[in-house]
Amino acid sequence: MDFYTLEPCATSNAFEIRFKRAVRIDLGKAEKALAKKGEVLARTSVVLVFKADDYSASVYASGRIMLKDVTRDEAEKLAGALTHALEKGGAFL
Amino acid sequence: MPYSEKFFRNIGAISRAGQASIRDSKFCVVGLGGTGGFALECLVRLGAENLIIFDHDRVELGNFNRQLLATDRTLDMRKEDAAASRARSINKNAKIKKSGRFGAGSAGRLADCDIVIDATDSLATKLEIAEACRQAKIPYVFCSAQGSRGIVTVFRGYRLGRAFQVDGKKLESKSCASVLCPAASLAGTLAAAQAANIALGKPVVKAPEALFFDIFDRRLFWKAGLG
Repeated sequence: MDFYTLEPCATSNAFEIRFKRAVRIDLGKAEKALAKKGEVLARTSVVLVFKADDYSASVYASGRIMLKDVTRDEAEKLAGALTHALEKGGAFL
Repeated sequence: MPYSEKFFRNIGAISRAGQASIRDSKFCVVGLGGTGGFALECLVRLGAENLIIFDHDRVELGNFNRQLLATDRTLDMRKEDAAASRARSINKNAKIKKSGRFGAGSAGRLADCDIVIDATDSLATKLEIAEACRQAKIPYVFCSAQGSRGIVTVFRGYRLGRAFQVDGKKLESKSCASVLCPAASLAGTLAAAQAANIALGKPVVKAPEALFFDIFDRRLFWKAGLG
């Protein structure tokens, strides 16, 4: 799933993964898909906050993913890995 | 509830004719983040009923430290929807025109406005909006907040690129900085005040001079030239 763009955010060291086509994310499936990659700190009906050793991410039901505390190079690698995990877990609607 | 019942406490500080002028003026707020959310709130509570808003973003967790529109209820909502809902909860007769992302083709929509508040966070976008306003001869209220500091001024013919000495330079499309709520809210509030002053025919801060503030500075406010 390489149909996303990576945009720097208005907060420091953060990047947003934006999908080129409209997708929604099933946060229940996303939680299961990401559980092996780190700790899910919180989940509501609209957002899942996820923390790994060296970065954190907010996954929104509307289909946006924010990566925090990362450089662009790291964000590019993580975007691919997270997207793959979510896709494999059937989290994209 | 009648308009006069909700906004009569404005009368005194402003005249009835002034209140009517604010009510009838068409205000545009571009950007509904830290500064824009507070600017819109002030305009609506000042009695503005004709509003055009631009923002393509959604409310996210990173907005909660400073943005009026960011709450648990609005998380992941489109900011335009959150803003329109809030404005209508204050004045259900407020006409809010949602315009999405400000980009190519948006400049024409500014021609419908009497006053534009630019609360975007990118100088590149600000240059586009300012130039569109300059060409359409629409007063352009510049506001910006970063960290503990902020700037507010009004452009009426003076070029933004000249003021910031960025003509012909390549600009980053996004800023990366922390912003504190008191700085964002102050910048937005002052921008709304300048916009109201324009509607009321009262004096404003004019570029290339600007009002600067720093909530951590003992002076708090001062005027100086831009650039």
